[in-house]
This record gives sequence, structure tokens and C-alpha cells, in this order.
Amino acid sequence: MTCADFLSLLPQYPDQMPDDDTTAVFLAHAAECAECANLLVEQEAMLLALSTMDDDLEVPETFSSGWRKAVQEEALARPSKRGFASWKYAVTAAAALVVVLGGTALMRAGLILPDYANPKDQVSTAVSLEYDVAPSAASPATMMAYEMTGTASMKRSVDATVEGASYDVETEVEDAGSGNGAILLHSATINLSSERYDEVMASISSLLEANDGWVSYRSEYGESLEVNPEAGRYAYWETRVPVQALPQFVAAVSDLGHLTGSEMVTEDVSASYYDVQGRLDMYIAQRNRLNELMEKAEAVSDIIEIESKLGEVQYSIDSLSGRIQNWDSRAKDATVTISVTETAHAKEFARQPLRQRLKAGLANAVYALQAFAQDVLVFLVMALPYVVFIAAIGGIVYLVIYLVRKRKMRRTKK
Amino acid sequence: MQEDALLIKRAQKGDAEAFEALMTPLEKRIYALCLRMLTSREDALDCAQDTMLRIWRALGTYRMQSSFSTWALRIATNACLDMLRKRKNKPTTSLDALVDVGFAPQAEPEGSPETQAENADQRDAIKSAIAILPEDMRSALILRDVQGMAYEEVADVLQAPLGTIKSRINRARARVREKLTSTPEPFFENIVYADERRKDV
Repeated sequence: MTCADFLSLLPQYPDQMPDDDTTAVFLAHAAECAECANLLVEQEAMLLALSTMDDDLEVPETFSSGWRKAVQEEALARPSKRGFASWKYAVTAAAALVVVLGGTALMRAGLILPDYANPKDQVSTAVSLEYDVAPSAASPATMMAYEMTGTASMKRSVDATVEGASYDVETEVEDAGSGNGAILLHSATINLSSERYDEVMASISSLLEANDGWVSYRSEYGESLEVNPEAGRYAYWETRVPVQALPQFVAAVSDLGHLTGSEMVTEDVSASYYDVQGRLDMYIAQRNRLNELMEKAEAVSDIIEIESKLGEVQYSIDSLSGRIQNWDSRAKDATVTISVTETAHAKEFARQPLRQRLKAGLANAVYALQAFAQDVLVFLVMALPYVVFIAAIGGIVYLVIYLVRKRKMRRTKK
Repeated sequence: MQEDALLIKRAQKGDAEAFEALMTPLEKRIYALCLRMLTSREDALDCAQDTMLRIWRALGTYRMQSSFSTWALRIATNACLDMLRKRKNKPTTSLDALVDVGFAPQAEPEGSPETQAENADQRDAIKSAIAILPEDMRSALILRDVQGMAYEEVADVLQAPLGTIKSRINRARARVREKLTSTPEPFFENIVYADERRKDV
């Protein structure tokens, strides 16, 4: 090693030497060269002086007490800031809650997140009937998912497997009067008690007439309280009222006396209805086919067999037609059962008893809460794709801003 | 370390006592750094005070990505550099010129009178040598050779690459040694040179 090399390495001694070998050579040169050795001593003395120059340094009392006092003053003056962090979280949580609950309410009202029908849910297939079908063995195996198109017609598909042959049925059925294609059967039950029994009975008859309703069944029994104060009359009505008039009819009847009980039921029989309708259409088509075959048949045995099968098919047609007609009738006219009990001291409560109201209120509240909780979950799931999309856009914008700022900072530093 | 983490969390929530406990071990280092960077006792006091408050106010931004002392010293270094920049904007006589005519940076009353007497000249000489270094070399040298921080920590505090830090320190050492050998009061007057030492070996 030369003295020039030694001098160039000197500032790196002792903690930045390239490797141990270099250090050894470096020190060996110092052992041989007096001038370089002196330089090494100076370097070591300088480093020692640097490392110890603050050992006896005392922190001024003014500084030590000054910063403590300043920090305490700021801490005392900052209670709102100290609580700011927790307030910040509370406000964020409240905002998130408002968004979720508000969004759910808007979704329930149909104002946001429209329920787009997934085209994949609509299934329709072609139909073909085979001659050697045994209608009695026909059993529609599965009702596939059907989709309301929002128009007056509905499409459904039935996957019917009959004796190894498979049928696909496409039918278009008319709206059965519900306005949106669903077959809904409405029924109501009203239980009344009144000391004005005769008036109530007459009013029910008047209301039926006024609403184009009719009585399908009525019974009365018991003795009038005037005759036997211990008895009292009881009447049971089964009435049919056009669906459009149901709400006002029920409201009007409920006001005739003391309402001891009521119930409103809406049964959706669309699935069964259209299943039966489809089967009916199938049988009708089968009957037509059999009639065609009958015209062409020549052999007596063929004619007998075709007639036998025609009979079976017709029986099925009649049975299914009856069911369809029954549903049509019940969908057109709601069923309202009314019971009237004569009481001596029936008080015309404007409201139900408190206990009943509390019980009903609690039950309604629990039900409403359950329903709302389910709706919240649905809203969160429906909103998730939108949230992800917005978050992705926001992330890209944030990244762009960050890169632009970074580039500006680099330019400033240069 | 866990205790420090707890103190940091408490201090971040506004606990002044936790902050004091956290900063007490660092106050001497911070004051010493300010003193060596600024060379003026008054400026060092102002800067150190300002640094403590900056650290207190910026606690919420500390994310434990580096050690707390590294983070705090980074703030202290930036505070010193800010003050040096402010100073540059004010017309002052250059420190180099003052040193050339015999001015020594204000000495901090340090240690016992006995040690003061023994080491006063040496300390003044080395302080003068550090004081005339450029800011980037001065800060690197102080953090490494005076305060004993590891090279990686110094790089973290000064937010510069490791290679750059090593280079600055090397150049700073060379300049300080050169200055010490050229001052009127030789720093190396009392040291034992190799010639004399070799005789003992």
C-alpha cells in the first residue's frame, strides 16, 4: 500500500473499511510508515474527541422546563382535539349508518337499485307431443323458474318427464286479473261483537249489495238477549266480494261493531295455477291429436284404444279445467268470512284492549325489524358492486394525484 | 420497546405525561444536535424548544415505520435546517470569516472546571471545525460520530441513500482533520504520536 492509498482510506477508518484484508494492509502500512502512523493517531484522536464532545453537555434548565410547560399547556388547551379522534370515528360511523339505513329505505321504496331481471332466469322451450304418451303416467317433474315479464302475459317452462319421454312446454297464459300476471287469492276474516245485532246483520247485507258481493254460506243460531239474557245470537257469513271492493268492504264491516278479531290473507297460487294450466293445454293438444288419429283409424282395435285414451284425457281435462275455474273465481272474488256475536254490554271501543294492542304492537315491531334487517342485508349485497366500482375509481384518482405530487417533489428537490 | 409503544399511544391521545416520559431520554440528544448544528446557544434553545413542540404536534402522524428516536431526530434535523435557512436570509458575517479571525463558537459551559481547563481548547477547536462544514456534511457527522448512530439510522434521519451518507461523513472527517491541523491552537498538540508509541511496543 502506498502513502497515497493510505491517505485516501484514512477518512473511512475504522468503520467504513472495505474489508478486513484492506484493514490489515492499512494497519500494516501504518506500522511501517511513521508519517502515516501519525496521521492514523490524529484520525483516532479526532474521532474520540467527536464521540465524547457531548459527554459533559448539560441540558439547560430553561429548555428542559420550557418544553415541558409548553406541551402541558397545549395538552390542556386541546381537550376538544383529544376527543376529536373519537368524534371523527363517531361521525364516520353515523354517516355510514345513515347511508345504509337510508339506502335500505330508498330501496324499499323502489327509488334506488332497481331490481333488473336477469335474462338467464327466463326459460322457455319448445313443445312436442309424442303419440305413445300415457297421460295417466304424466307427471310434471319440475316447475322451472318463471319470470314475470311485467306485461299481461307470462311465460313459464315445465320440465315434464312422462314414461321416458320428455316434454317441454311453452305456454302463454292470460293475466288472471291481478294486473301483473300473479294469481292471488284474497280472503279476510272479521269477528264482530255488538249489542245491536240486528242492525249489524242488516248492514252487512247492505254492504254486500253495494259492493256487488254475494253470500255463499250463512248460518245463525242462539236466542236473542231480549228473550234470554244469558244466551245471545251468533251469525256466521261466508261472502264473496270483488277483489277491487275488498278493502272498503272489510273496513266498512269492521266498523259495524266491536272488532274482536280480523285477518287478511293473500295466497299466491300462480305456480300451481300455471302448472295446471300447462298440463291442461297439454291434455287439450293431446286430445286434438287423438281426434286426428281417430279419423284416420280403420281397425276396430285401434279405434277402441284411441277412444279409451280419449276418455282418460278428457277426464284429466275436465278435472284440471275445474281447478282453473275455481281459482279464477276465487281470484276474481275475495272470500270474506264474518262472524257476529250478540253481546249485552259490548262496549264500542275505538281501540282494542291495551294488552292486545301491546302484544300486537310488539309482534308487529319484531316482524318489521326482521323484515328491515333482511332488507338491509339485501341492500348491502346489491350495493356492493357499486361500492367496489366507486372505490376502484377513487383508488385510480388517488394514485394519479399521488404520482403527480411525487414528480413535483422530485423536480423541486432537483 | 413495548413500554415505548404504550407511551407513544398514550401520548398520541394527548397524554402530556406520557410524552414527557417518551422525550426525556431524547432531550439531551436533540439539544446537542441543535447546538452542534446551529453553534449558537440561543438559537439552539429556540430550535430545540421548537423541535419538541413539533414532535408533540406531529405525534399523530407517527406510524412506527422507523424507530421513535429516528423519527424525532429527523424532525430535529429539519428544524435545524429550517433555522439555518432563515439565518442565511439574514445578512450575517460568515462563520468561516469569524473563525479565521479567532472567533470560536459559543462554548457551552460543560463539565467540571477541571475538565474544562483540560479540554477547553480541544473542544473549541473541534467545534470550530464542525461549524464550518456544509450543512449536509455537518448533520451527517454529528449524527454518526458525535451521537453514535448507525449509518442506516443516519440515512433514515437525513432521508438520503446510505452511500451518500457514507460519502458525506468521509468528506466531513477529512475536512475536520484538515481544519484541526491548520488551526492556530493545534488540536493534536497533546496526543501521543506513533513514533513515541512505537517505542513502547
